[in-house]
Amino acid sequence: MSEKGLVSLINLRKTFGKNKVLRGLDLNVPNKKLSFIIGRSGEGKSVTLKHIIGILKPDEGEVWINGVPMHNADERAWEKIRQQIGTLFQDGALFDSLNVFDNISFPIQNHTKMSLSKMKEEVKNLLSIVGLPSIEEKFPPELSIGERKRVGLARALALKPKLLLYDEPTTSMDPLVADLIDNLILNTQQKLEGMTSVVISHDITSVMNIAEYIFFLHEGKVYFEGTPEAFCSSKDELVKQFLTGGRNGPLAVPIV
Amino acid sequence: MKKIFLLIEFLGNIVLSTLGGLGRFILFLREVLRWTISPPFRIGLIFKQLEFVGNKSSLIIFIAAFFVGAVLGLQLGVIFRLFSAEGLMGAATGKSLALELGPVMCGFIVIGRAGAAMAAEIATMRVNEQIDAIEAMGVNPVSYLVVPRVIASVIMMPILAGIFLFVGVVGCYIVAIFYYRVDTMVFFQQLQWIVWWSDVVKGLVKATFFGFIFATIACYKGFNAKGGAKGVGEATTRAVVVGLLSILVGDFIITLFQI
Ligand SMILES: Nc1ncnc2c1ncn2[C@@H]1O[C@H](COP(=O)(O)OP(=O)(O)OP(=O)(O)O)[C@@H](O)[C@H]1O
Ligand SMILES: [Mg+2]
Repeated sequence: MSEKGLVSLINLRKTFGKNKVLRGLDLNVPNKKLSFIIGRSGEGKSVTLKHIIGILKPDEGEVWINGVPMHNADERAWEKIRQQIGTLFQDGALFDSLNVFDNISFPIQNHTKMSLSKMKEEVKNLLSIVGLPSIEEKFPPELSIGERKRVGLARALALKPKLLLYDEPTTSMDPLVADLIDNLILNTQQKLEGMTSVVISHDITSVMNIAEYIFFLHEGKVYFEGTPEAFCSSKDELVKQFLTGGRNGPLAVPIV
Repeated sequence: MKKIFLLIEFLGNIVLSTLGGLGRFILFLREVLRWTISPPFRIGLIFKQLEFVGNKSSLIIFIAAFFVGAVLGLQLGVIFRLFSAEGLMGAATGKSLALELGPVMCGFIVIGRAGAAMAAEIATMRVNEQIDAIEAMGVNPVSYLVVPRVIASVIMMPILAGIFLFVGVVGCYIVAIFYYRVDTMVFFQQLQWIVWWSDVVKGLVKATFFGFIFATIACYKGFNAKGGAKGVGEATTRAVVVGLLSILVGDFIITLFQI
């Protein structure tokens, strides 16, 4: 059991029609660390993340969460597990028909018996954590994409999860807000005892700034994994090309 | 020879995919029923959907019912007049409204309004990853999105069909009184004589089934939408078309049991 971390994906395979997305992916998320998953667009990063929360089921392979095999688990078991995982989706995935307050308090309303006044306080608090003013009454279509993502992040934090998954938290944000989100991810990671975070990102600066561990996905597998230092000093052509975002290298299409 | 094989393969594929689709729909139905009888029971959401289904369709139902009743009265009056039995037109209109036209027309209208909106809303939530997000927060999306809509439709449809019947009879009554000069007493005596309470109940039972049919189909189509805004449009169209046809087929089957 000791070699299995909070999340272990073993020899994961997933195919959509003819599109082989995951081709034997092995990924062991280091416990209590801030890990990054990087890779080209369409490499299956979001698909990998959806396997961690059981929204997609593997064609083959194993998913272990907290030392428990989940690949054959039923929905009830998954629902229990998911309450301890906070997920920020790529576009925020806020509910259009609910205002910001109801969006952020959605997990609280569904899983706890908190009073309304306490909930209001909690939502205000969550909003200030992600650097937003009191916009409880606004509806998602009135918000900018950056604001929507931050509301999504507040919602992911609402149940004080042990594992946080971020799908491209800083994409489509201005550099200042991106920096704020990076700091937020780092702070959340450091402030909350025993927190494990996994961030999917294209943003090589934030990877180098805050990552403690990096997984580089390529052709449905983990092509490279290690600390940022190891990543930087790697002699591998593909890794070097990804780091510089350059046109020259084994990858035909430029990355980022 | 080769062409025949190709044809067989083609037809076989159609049969297989139809059966596969049916199988998936039955699994979906099972899930809906399971979450209908197991907690959490989302009373607030059910009321929200009741209001939605009712509000969306009630005005159209009033107008449609009035004119359907009036037109039926006009047409039947022509025939009944031949036998000097204009007094029976209310009864004939009432019977057909109660047994068939009320529930079926109501079903069509509600599909076009509420059913299409349900399919579009759920499909949008699917393609924008909102359903994934619901699931990711440990909430079952069938329980949260589908069950309240199905329950609300099942409750609301017989109410709307009842309104349709009542307004339709009023429409017919006005034609009878002002156009055919039928006596009010005669109109209602004949109505009571021909239209039994059991007819009304049969019609409302039909409407209840129709509510279940259109809501599950609309939610199912929305739930399985894929591929952006185009997918939302496709899901909505399919929900309406399949819903309409299913109501007609369902009507035939239920009627077989009722007569
Ligand atoms: N539910 C699905 N059905 C069919 N194909 C899918 C589904 N989800 C993902 N895919 C396909 O899997 C591949 C990987 O998608 P994924 O969203 O994981 O990419 P990604 O690495 O997150 O890319 P990006 O950085 O652009 O978000 C894509 O080709 C996509 O079309
Ligand atoms: Mg992605």
